[in-house]
Amino acid sequence: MKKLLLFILPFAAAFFTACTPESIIDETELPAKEAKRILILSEGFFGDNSASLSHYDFENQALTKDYFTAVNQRGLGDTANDAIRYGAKIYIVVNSSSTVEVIAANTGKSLKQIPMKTAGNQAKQPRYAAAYGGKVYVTSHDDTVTRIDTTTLSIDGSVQVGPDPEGICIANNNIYVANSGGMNFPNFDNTVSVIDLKSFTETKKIEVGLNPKRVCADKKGDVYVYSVGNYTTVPATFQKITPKGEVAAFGEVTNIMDFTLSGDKAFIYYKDYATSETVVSVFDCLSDKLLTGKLIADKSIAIPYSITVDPFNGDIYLTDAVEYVKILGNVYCYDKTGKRKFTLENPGYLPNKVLFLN
Amino acid sequence: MNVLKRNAVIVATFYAVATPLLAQTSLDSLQRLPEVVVTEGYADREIRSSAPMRVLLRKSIRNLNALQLSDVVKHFPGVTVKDFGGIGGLKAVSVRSLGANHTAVNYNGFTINDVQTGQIDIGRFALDNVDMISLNSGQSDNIFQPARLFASASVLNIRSAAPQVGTDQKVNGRASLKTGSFGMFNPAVSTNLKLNEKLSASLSGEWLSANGEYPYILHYGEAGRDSSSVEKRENTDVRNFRLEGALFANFSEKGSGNLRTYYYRSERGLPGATILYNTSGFSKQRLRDNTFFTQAHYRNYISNRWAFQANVKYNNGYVYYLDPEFLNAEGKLENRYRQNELYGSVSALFRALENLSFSVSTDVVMNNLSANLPDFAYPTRYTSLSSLAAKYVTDRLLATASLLYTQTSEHVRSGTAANNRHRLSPYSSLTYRPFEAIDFRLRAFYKNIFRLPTFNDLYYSRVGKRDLKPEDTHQFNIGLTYSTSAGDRVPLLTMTADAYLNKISNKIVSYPNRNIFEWSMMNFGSVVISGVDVAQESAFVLSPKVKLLAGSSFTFQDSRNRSNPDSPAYNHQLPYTPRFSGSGRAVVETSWLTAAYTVLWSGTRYTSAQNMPENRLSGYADHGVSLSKSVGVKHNKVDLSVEALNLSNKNYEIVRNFPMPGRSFRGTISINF
Repeated sequence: MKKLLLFILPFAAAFFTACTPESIIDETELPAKEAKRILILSEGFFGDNSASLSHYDFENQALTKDYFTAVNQRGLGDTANDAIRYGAKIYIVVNSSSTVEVIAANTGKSLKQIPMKTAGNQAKQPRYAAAYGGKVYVTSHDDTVTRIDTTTLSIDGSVQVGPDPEGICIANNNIYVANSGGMNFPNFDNTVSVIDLKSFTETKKIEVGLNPKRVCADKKGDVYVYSVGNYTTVPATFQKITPKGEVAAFGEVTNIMDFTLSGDKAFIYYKDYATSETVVSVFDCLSDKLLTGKLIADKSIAIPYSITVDPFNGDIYLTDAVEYVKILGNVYCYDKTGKRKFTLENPGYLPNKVLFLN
Repeated sequence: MNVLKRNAVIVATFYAVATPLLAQTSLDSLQRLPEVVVTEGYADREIRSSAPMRVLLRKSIRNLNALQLSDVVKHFPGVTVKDFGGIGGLKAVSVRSLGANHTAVNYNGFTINDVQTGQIDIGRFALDNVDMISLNSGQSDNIFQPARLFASASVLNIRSAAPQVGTDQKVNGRASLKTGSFGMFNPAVSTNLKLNEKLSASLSGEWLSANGEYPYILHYGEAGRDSSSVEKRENTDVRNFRLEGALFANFSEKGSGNLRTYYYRSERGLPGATILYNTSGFSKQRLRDNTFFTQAHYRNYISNRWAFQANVKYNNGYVYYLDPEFLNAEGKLENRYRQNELYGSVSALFRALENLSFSVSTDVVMNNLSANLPDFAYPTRYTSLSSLAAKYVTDRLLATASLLYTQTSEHVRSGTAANNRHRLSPYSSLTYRPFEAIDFRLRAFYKNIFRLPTFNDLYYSRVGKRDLKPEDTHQFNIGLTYSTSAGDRVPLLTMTADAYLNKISNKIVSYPNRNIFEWSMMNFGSVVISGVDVAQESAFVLSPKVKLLAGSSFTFQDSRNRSNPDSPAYNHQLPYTPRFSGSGRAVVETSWLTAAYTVLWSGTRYTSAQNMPENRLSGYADHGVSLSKSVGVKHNKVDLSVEALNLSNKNYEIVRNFPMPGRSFRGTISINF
């Protein structure tokens, strides 16, 4: 009985204090459910209008290509960088089309296409999204984070950050944004902007490695940052920002092309050109140590392009850009021990994200 | 001389490619020409050429419903023009799937070179002042030419009109005004002056502007299944200006020369691809380019056995690119590129025997490029080209062979220079008429040539790679030509058919290097192309007053990517290369009106290396008609014409997401004075 009470209490507390956002049990904090279907987002090529969404049903093992177009009688657009599921809706960030496409998770039907334009009607070129407290936050290359209200599906705020923000995550009642400065090549930026969720203002900029790309938060509120470097003289770095804003670097992580975070583990991938293996190694966020050994070492992936982990069963999805140059990509699924489970061939051009649907 | 007389040889037509003035010279001087050329007329040259050659003269060009050079070239078999649509859209010509970088553009005897991209936008050449356009696969049978004209897989020749001033005239010329859909306004003037018996001059100028805002149907998915909307192309305005002057001199019976100065300025919008939901976001970019060159040519037919020519040129090219909405700190992206070329060439021709001649030519080129890019290399390239060629001609046999030696020396102001290269490139060709009485010929050629990596390939920020090798091509061609006439009713019937096998190795491609953020140029690709080109032309006299000219061409190209056996694209057809394509034209000439019909058609193509249904681009047919008439007004001849283009009004795409204009109209009035 005591146990049960302990279990119920937080929910009850959440219910009674629902007016204050801090104590809402956010959708993103609920335990994951088993995925019955997945959606695969494919970026497509710039200028090609070939961004697409593919649908895969685990039960009948059917892959439906170009699912979005089939449902909506129109294409997703050009260069879809990111997609997130939040509640019953999916938010797809389409960079060149400069839209956020909101679709119903169960039907794929578009609920709204939100144009991402500045006051002067210039395309913002959105990149990545994160959600919390009934809002979706989208980074854009016009150096802003745009806030979308998930009930009205309209933009209700925007805040200036550093140059060309890329990855975004939410923790500690803050939004963390990786300012890449990529459009100012070769003068990349090296900061992460911290935005207070409540006031929706930038409170500080934290210095990290050069050309930060991805930020992911673990359960403790530590934000892990992958910075690409400048491709030549400055190497990639893997760091973390503690809730207090202190930065720690993990020099042992030298091979990294990108990463994702699930539970208390960061899944880092890279291509080993000496062995032509695509390697996934695991970084334990509790001990802040790179675990020895390779979780995955697979030679069938030509150009690894993204990693997603199923939060329910720990399955790992790696996507393959194949030759990058206008070749349809593939998706490889591994179980949590790193054993290949299945492959989905040719879902689209440059598959870059997997979404899990119940 | 007997050979010459018996065949009523008009050698001048051949030389006229390089020296327009020669067309006026008398037969006396022709007989001094040491190189024997057996040819009678332009149509004949297509038949007699040992390597495939297409020729279109001014009159035929006028009936092609063409505004730009690219519109003409599309009618040649074996040619794929990558056309981004509209007047200002880039138009790059690839012959027999070898790629635009392997097509040289010869403007009045001099190669036009772009050392930065290696491609010439042939949309820039208007046709007002053009007298002849021809295309050589392999190379021309004319061996008395600069080494550089031996140095490409195919050559597109543009010859401007030469002054043709009558004996009792001092000045003549032509003024024309062309106007049409999408705000097209195109006045042009050209005048010819006879300064004295030895000196004549021509001056021509042209303005071409258009807003180019043509409507198109934007498909948001598959046409017919998914939704669509009617849109208008934006940022398609063009303003081109050309001014050109030439001086022609006959120094003596033996020596002649010309000096040509050319200035071209173009300011245009780049409409960009039609990006779903945000086309306007990518259609703000501007491009400005200026070209200035001056070129001088001198030739002397020293004796019955010897001839000599010298050529010099200076070229300055400037390109300015602006993206006013680039999301960097500055809020815009501005790129400036300037390139210079200095060129010199000397050639000698020696006629060893009645039927056998030899030529040597040596060219030196200096190219440099500057750009406002960070850490730019500021490259300079010195290229020396030397050729040795031989030609044997009889009434029934024509054979040529040449060897080209190319050497480069690369220098940079910062960083490391690219590797220097030296190569030997052979060519040989043959045409033979087996039967005395029938004008039926068999022909064959082989050419091995390369293209040097461009400055972009070598030095472009991050992407460029210094140790790139030249991209090699091998061409094998066999063909037959036939010409006949069937009485007064069918005065001309010609047919050419060629089959070829081309190979590209060390193809220069951009490729993700260590990861997708690090692209670099690589000698990675290899391509095998087999194809067939067929063309026919005929003239019919329907009645004493009605003549019909009909021509058509058909192209089959099987162009396979053989780069990497493990690639999903291995053995697939090259992107944007139709397996089947063709063209047709018919002109009905009556004493009071000329009517012309043209069609260009293409089968399906793929937009990607991997041929999949999702990247299939459907075929198209583009029909055009025109009516033209000449009337005499006092002493002047006035030409009037109206054209209707792309009659079926389909916004077909040659390049995906770059719709072509639908139906449009043009009217032209020109006065010859």
